Amino acid sequence: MNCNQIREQILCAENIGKLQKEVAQHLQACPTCRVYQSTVQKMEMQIGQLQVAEPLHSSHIRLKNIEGRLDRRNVFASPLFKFRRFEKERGRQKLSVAVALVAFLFAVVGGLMLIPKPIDRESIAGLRAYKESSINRANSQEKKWQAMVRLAKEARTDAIVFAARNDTVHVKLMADYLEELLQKDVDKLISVRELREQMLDFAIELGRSESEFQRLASLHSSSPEVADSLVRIAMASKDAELRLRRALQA
Amino acid sequence: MAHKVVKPETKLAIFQPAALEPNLARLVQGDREAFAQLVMFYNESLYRWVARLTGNSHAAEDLVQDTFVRAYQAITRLRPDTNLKAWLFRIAHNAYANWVRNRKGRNSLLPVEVLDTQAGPEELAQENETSLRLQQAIDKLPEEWKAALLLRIQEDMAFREMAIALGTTEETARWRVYKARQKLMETLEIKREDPR
Ligand SMILES: [Zn+2]
Repeated sequence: MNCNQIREQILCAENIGKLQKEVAQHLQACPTCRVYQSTVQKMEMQIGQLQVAEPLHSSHIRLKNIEGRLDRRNVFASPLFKFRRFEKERGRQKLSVAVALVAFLFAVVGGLMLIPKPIDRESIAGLRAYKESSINRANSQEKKWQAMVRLAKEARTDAIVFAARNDTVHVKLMADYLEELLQKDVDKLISVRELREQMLDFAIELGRSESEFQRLASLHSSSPEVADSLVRIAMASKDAELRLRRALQA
Repeated sequence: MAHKVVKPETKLAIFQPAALEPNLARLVQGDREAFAQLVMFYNESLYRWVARLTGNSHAAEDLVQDTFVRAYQAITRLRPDTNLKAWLFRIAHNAYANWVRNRKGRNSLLPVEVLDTQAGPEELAQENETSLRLQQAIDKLPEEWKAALLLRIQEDMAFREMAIALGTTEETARWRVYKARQKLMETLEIKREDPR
C-alpha cells in the first residue's frame, strides 16, 4: 500500500488507535503517515471534548417530564404506584379471591367466614407480607438467599424511582422496608456456610449501593425528607455489608 | 442569547450504571420502574448526541423526551436480542430527522447556541479558537455524516451498532464516518494553511 492508501485506511478504521497489521507496519516506517494518523486521532479527541449546550434539565426532571407525558397520554390505566412486577402475585390474588368466594359460600353454609385479605403494598406490614411470602416460598437456603437479594434489588430500584419523582412517602416506605430486609432477613441466612460465595457478591453489591445512595442523597439536598430516607438506605447497605464481611471472616 | 456550557468532565452525576442495568424482560411487559431505569441510564448520552446535532438545548430536550415517549409506545415489541442502546438511538435519530425536515420546511433556522466563551489567558483563547473552528467544521458536515461521526467518537459505537442506530448497513456507517473524517481533515488543513 502506498501512503494515500494508508491514509484512506486510517480514515475508515473503526478505531484509529488499533489499525490492521499492514497499516501499522507502514506507520512505523513512514513518519509522514504517522503524523497524519496522530492528527486524525487528536482531532477526534478534540471533538470528544467539545462543549455541549447545557441541558435545560437534570436527569430527574427529564424523567419526571417523560412520565408526565406518558400519563397524560393515558398510555397506562394504572395509578402512579403500581408494582407491575407483582402481576403474577396479582394473578395469585385473583385465584385467592375465587377461593375466597367458594369459601364464603361454604362459610355461609357452614356458618364460617374465610375471606383472605389482599396484600397491601402501601404499608410496611403489606410489604413485609410480600417479603415473607417471597422468601418462604423458596425451598432451599440458596433459593431463599437469592429471593432476598432480588427483593433488595427491586426495592433499591423503586427507591431511586420514587426519589426521582420526589415521592417522599414511598421513598420512606422503601427505606423502612430495606432496613428490615437488610438486617433481619440477611441475619437469618448469614450463618449458612454454603452461601459464602454469594454472600461476598452481595457484600460487594451493598458497598456499591451505599455510595450510590449517598450520592443520590446529595442530589436531593433540596428535599430533606427524601435525602434522609436515601441516607438511611445507604447506611443500612453499609451496615449489612460489614456484617456480611465479618461473617465471612469468621 | 448567551448560554452557559458544561464541559464533558462536569457532566451531571449519574448512578452506578452496574447497579441499574435496564432489564429487558421487565421492559417488554411495560414495567414502569424498568422504564424509568432505562431513562436514567441513557438520557444523558442521548442528550449529548442530539444537542451536538441540533446545536440547541431546547430542541435537544424535546427530542430526548420524544424519544423516550416513542420508545415506551413501542416497548412491548422489543425482542430478547434487541440492542437497547442502538434501538434508542435509532428512535432518536428518526426524531431528529423529522426535526430537520420540519425546520427546513418552515425555512426558519433555529439559532445555533453560541457557546459562552469568556476571554481568559492566551492559551485558553487559542484553545477556544481551535474548538470554535472544529465546531464550525462539524456544523458544515452533511447531517448523516455528522450523526455517524459523533456516535463513533462520543458513544464509542462500533459500526455494527451504529448501523442499527442509523437504520443503515455496517458498510454505509463506515463510509459516513470515513467521509466525515476526510472532510474535517481537509477543512482543518486548509484553515491551518490559511493565515486568516
Ligand atoms: Zn506513508
